[in-house]
Amino acid sequence: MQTEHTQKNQGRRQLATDGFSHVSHGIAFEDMTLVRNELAEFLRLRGVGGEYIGNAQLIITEILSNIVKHPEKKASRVEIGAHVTDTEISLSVSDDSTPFANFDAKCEKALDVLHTGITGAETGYGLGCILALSPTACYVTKDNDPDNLNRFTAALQIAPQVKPEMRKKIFLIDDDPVSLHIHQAMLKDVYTVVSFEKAQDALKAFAGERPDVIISDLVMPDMDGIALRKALAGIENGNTTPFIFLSGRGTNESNPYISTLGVDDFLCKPVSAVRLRTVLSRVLNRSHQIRDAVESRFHQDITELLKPSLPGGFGSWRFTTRHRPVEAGGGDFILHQQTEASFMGVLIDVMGHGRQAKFFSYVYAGYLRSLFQMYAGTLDASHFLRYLSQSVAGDPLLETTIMTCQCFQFLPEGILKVASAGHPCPILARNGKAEVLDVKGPLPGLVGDSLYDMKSFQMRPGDRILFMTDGFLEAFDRRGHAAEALLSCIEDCPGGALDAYLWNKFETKSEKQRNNKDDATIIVAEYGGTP
Amino acid sequence: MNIGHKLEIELNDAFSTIRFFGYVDAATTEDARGVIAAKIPENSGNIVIDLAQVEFLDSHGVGLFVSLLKKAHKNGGRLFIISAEGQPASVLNIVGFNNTLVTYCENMQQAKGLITGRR
Repeated sequence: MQTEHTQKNQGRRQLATDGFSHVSHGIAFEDMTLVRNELAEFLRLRGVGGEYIGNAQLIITEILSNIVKHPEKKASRVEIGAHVTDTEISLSVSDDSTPFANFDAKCEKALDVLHTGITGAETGYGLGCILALSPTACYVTKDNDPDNLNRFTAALQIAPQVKPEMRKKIFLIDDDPVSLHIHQAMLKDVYTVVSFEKAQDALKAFAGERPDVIISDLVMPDMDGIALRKALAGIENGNTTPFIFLSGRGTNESNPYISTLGVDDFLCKPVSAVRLRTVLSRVLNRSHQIRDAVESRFHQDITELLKPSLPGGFGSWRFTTRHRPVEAGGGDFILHQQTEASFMGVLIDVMGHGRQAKFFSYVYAGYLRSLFQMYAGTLDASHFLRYLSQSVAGDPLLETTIMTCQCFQFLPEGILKVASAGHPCPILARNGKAEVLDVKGPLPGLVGDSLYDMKSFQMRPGDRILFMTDGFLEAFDRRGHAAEALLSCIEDCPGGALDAYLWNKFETKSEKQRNNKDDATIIVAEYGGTP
Repeated sequence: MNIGHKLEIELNDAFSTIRFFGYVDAATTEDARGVIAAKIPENSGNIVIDLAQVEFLDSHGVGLFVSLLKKAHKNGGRLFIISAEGQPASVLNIVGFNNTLVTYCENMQQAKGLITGRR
């Protein structure tokens, strides 16, 4: 077996390609140990915990076992991939063997076996294991693949890992080195503890180290705990950093002045490890709650300001938009500009996970808004995307995330011009039929100077065009056939408002799948004919 | 008896012990089935599977364990699994190898105690 093992980590491409890749010419049972070990090494290097590594190994092993055992024509090419985010491990196996038939039926049978439990069958547990660990696992046969490869994909949810650099940092201050040592030992497994025997040293280090909590002795020579707390109140972030007194003398009730200092708790020595950790955890949680409440309010305000929307129409065109914002993750935005001759709009999907990504998408939105306002009147859809792509490729900040983008122009006489940068294709609904409009292009910034085809379509009166972001399309995913499922859904629309019908379907499916991790947006543009 | 560092079989009056090593997966179970069929008496009652040295278990290994479970039950015995931890324990849990089917023990001593107590 020949293998190529690559672990790429190159700037902007990091999000797209920073992953595990193992390509082999054919595969046998004996090769699986190597693959498993390589995968484990890759995951370990990314801080993934042992339990999740074992589960990822199991999924890959079960997929490969099926490729070795069952196909009539054996695989001559097998590509194994893995990618890790904060919340999941994405796994993929592509191969060119005879595809499995009736995959959905096999899944249902495998789930039945799992639910029934061990009944005596000595086979049939493999697919059940995959689905138990990755309920959204999907398989697309090579007949539907441009590279003529069967593709098995699975996503394994992982709890966020606490990397050493992500641990909460505790400043521990006590003039008694023995006490300092004992309390440090109690906390060091869970927190990063920085110890000081002098309060002045802690104060000096505060700005550079930015602790999450300060635990200080009360009575110390030179600067005591009260003086430290007061000094912190006068420096940046000092007043908002949680502060706990850990003292050998009485309680805070014996010194009423302490309660006026705004400390978060008061512990008396000797303190047990359990008690110390419990209080610390509670104080940190409280701190998070306050921060979350502030952030949530911030997100609400910004989300309202950036809510994707379009005017009701342009000439004979009528527009409706629907949008579901989520608090964490990437963001969807619509920008538009109207002249007498045309109406130009851009639908943007900034991708990412977590609250940082949401914040970053706001930054991106601001940048794109200014770019669009500068050039929308002078560039057509394809040139705007090209300019955008060049701007992204040359900007180290923008390169750190991924976005997809679709630029569209509506002309009064029913002409629609569209260019796309990695975005889901628009769908045309005409006379009860639906078809995907083939408008594709590379992600912005993927190569230095991307060229984008602008396609032109002549609409007929009553035609409706659906533009959407990934968050909407994914809800219709039927094991890798989201577009087909959506087309069927549009063709089933009984008439009336297409946006309301589709949005209702989307919300039902999202709720069923518990899929609400991404913003979702649709635009429906209807052409009414020449007035 | 040590078979290619993959499994070790130990027979005594009250039970048979199969000690697996390394990977119990598609690559190893076929050989293991042959060896077990040849060495474990057909009328074997209690069977002990020792997973202390197992790093990885897949559905093929599960299938093998089911065959041993059937063998033990057929002869009025039980299947004991000792030292199931980490990934192997996780797989057994997923497929439903629960305490009503098998008896999990922390170590051989505990399994021996249960087996001799049963006699």
